[in-house]
Amino acid sequence: MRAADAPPGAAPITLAGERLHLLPERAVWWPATATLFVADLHLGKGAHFRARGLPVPHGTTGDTLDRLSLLLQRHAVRTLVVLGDFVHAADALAAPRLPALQAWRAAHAEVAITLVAGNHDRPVAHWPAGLALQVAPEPHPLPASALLAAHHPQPVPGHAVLAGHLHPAVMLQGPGGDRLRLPCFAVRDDLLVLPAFGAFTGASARGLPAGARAYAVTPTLVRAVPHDGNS
Amino acid sequence: MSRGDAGTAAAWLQRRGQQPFPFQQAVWQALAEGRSGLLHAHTGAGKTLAVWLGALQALAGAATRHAPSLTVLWITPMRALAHDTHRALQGPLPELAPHWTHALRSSDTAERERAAQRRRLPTLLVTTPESVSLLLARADAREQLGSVRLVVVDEWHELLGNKRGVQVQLALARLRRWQPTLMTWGLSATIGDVQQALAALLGAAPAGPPPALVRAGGDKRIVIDTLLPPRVERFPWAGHMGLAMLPAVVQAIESAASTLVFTNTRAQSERWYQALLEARPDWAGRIALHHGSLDRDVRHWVEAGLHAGALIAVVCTSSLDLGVDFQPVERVLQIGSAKGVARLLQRAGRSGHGPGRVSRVSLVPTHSLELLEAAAARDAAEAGEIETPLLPDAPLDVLVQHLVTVALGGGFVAAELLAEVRTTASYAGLGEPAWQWALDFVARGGPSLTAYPDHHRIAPDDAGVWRVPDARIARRHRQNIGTIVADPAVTVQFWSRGAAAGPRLGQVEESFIARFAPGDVFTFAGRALELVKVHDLVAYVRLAPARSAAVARWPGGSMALSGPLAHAMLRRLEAAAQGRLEGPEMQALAGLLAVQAQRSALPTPGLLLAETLRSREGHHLFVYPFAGRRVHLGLAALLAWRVAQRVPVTFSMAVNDLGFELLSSTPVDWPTLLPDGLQAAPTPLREELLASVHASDLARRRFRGIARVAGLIVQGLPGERRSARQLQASSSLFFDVFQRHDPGNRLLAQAVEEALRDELDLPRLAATLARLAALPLRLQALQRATPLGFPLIVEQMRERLSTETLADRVARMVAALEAAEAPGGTAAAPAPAERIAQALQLEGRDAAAAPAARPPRSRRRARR
Repeated sequence: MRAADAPPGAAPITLAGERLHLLPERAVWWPATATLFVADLHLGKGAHFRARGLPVPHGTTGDTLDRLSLLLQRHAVRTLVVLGDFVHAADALAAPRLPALQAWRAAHAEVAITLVAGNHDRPVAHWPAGLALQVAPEPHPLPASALLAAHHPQPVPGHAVLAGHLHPAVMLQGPGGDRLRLPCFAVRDDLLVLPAFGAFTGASARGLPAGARAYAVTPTLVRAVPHDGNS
Repeated sequence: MSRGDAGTAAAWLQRRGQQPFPFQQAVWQALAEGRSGLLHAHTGAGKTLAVWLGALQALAGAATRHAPSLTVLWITPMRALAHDTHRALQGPLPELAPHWTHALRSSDTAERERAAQRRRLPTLLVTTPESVSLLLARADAREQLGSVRLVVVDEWHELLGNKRGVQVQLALARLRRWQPTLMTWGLSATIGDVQQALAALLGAAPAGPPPALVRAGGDKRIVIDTLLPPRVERFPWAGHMGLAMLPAVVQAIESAASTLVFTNTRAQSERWYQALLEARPDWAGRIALHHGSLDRDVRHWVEAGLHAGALIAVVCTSSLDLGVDFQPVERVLQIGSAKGVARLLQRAGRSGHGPGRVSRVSLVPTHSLELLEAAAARDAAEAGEIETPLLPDAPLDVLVQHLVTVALGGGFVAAELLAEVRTTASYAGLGEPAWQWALDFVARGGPSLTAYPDHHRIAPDDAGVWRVPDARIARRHRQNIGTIVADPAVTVQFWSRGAAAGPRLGQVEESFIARFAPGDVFTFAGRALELVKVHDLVAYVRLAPARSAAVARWPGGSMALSGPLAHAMLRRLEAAAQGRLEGPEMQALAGLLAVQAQRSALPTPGLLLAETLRSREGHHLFVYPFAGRRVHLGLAALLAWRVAQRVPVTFSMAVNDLGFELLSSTPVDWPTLLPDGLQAAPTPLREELLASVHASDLARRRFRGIARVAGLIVQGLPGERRSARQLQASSSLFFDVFQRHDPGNRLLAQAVEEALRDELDLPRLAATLARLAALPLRLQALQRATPLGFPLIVEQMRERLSTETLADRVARMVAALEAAEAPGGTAAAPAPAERIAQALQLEGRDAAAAPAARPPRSRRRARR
């Protein structure tokens, strides 16, 4: 696929003069620099729950990494920017789980990964060298553009910001009082908030900033939808 | 039984100038013989005292220096009721058992009192089902609870059909194991199947004296009548009468010393309270509002006012269905359909207490067809045709919770606990695989060893006794015991500039308050309130001058018309078809029924009526099975699905309690397709139903409660704030993750079963299909809509139109239908659109039914 082609189901937007594609896989593709953005992976969250007596089945972290691998390959990604909350808790990097994560990283050795540390990443005192992460504080400037990468949504004058943290969703009203909640991208002025990428992460309509335009995400499609908050 | 001579209790009554009723003596006798039993009666027959005096007589024994250990456990379904009951039970103690100690235990109990109870429980403990489970989760549960000789379950009918009742069944099985001669007594309102109620209470009890079934106050007179509307529209629709009944209601309130005005929803109660105040401003302070979302202090104030006779009327919801008697109440008004005979009788029983007095409930119809229901309700009540709650069938979420509870409360050996659990009625048919799955689920997440690595809630010790090894899990489980599920609640509180917060008004669902911005006005607790700000689950408000305000909406499914009531309605229609219009309600309906009979026919127990109509909207089919709105929803979906298998067509549906409508843009060959479409199932009905409704959406909704009960959802823990946040995930997320990574999880299957059973009422749906298949079908092609079909047309439009547009349309349609019926101009002037708009709002469809007697769940639950 040529970089300029719109990926199937994606919605294009322009932010700070840059052409970005909102992907139904809950990621943002920036073809000009072959950069992929994802937010809120919460790796190791299932194991964290299980260890504390909450029955979450095995496989959510593997699912998240598999879906990410697919995207990295499909788009021939050169740079991956994680907009915070790469891990759910520090125990995601503990001995029993680290080898799988390192193996995943080794399979994508050609991809540079920048992690803008989120609130869930902060307790990690030391990132294992084998993961080859460039861990950056927020907001993190992206080369040759006015784009900034952050975890917490924040306005920065003169820049456009990509962020996560909120796990936004939009509530769609159907006939007969039916309501459907879908994860969404939220765009307001120079701010783009990504839906959470992780397989075991929720999405909440409360995470949709007031006045934001919502792009609802279905398994195959991203579409701008009207909602209560932006009328 | 040193004071076992029957004189003691009788003497106590005699000193108060009372003679024991025969039913009281029967209960005393049974208790003296060590028998368990069920005492059922209308509200206010003196059930509490009957069992309590008998218990003291049988169990108090000679005075001792030290108070006996816990002997009587008295379980009530509501915290508010526990408080009143505790007060009532204290009365006879000084004379009949001065050496007994007594206490109350609920989530409202103060920490000092609970610390005392941790050391030693009193002789009598008044408590709630949730608190009993908490006691079972104490490590010394057996030492503390093994001495219980008698358990009394108050308002058993209220618990019987839900998971709280299942929780009580499991607790009783536990207590019986420790005390095989345990006596269990249920106090119940009048219900259909008392044998089932008794069986659920006693389980497969070990051989002992046979249980007693005592009926009290059978001679109590209950009057059911109707406030007749000034005029009876022949083309009714749900809620069309709006406030037309207001003058009659005002007059009824004036004529009695004290009146309870029952509404079906909290929103409706707010609106009627406002309307009454506007009609009679001089009643300010003399009438009050009572529903489950109001603050506890407000409710206590209202209840005290009722006791003292200081209030002439209270507008309320099911929040006042239960509870101790309000002596001054003379009359009950029921606004709109009560939907069931048992509920109507229960509410009627809130009036006319005292020997020889009459309970009186007057129905206030909100649309013409409720007149038919009123007449039918009286028939069914007189014939004793009363609903029976459906017993939950082996719910695994409650079992999962119980396994952890028992593991905490001294631990268990698997085979022994299985045998114990199977003695309960709800788990009598629990299969080995389901049991093993539940055990595996709490032991290691599921049957597969690799599915849930490192996950253990319980583990066996060296002796094979299952226990909870992790103190954090133990603490979290105790915090989350219970089966009541509610939306996050936001406290509504007056804003105050100073440091001290203003008075609290009550609680609303978070989703309601989220619709408002600061400055918006809404009605709550009988006041127009302006939202100041929302902070930390508190909505700060101040009084607003504005008159037009949104009324708080509460979620909850609409109640469906009960089977006995629907059947009684069909019998009334049959009588009408034979020319018999008996009673004022049927007389008032004469015009409407004549139009129905002339344009089409009257449905009867022996005839299934369906109608077709061509209109501007498209091609309508109306069917009137009289099976309640839930069954009609399933029937409509099923019929639409079956037809769509054969011809390409899409339908929109509408349902009410009497029938359903399918509307299509293209004509459908109903004479051929309808009889086939309503056949009793060729393939298993449940499979067809799952295919025809959005089963997964329904299941996802049911899963919310299941996830809470099964301990997947963690509520905030004091002192553990931060880590608790890291452990929060929604039920919807668990649902998705299970579906994808553990599709065999039996909690998912339970969600589907609950959706089929409780949302679509599968058992009744199957019975209805069988009934319909045996009936002759009359399919009438209409020129114009009939009185039965018209409300369905309005229902259909309600889905699509705003209130204002809908009101205009309804006004025009009624005018056209009436004009066609009475070309000579004898038709009454149709109602103007604005009155219709008001009525549409008043009926509060969005609000749906207030859940039965649900105490407000506050963040205080963490303190239980």
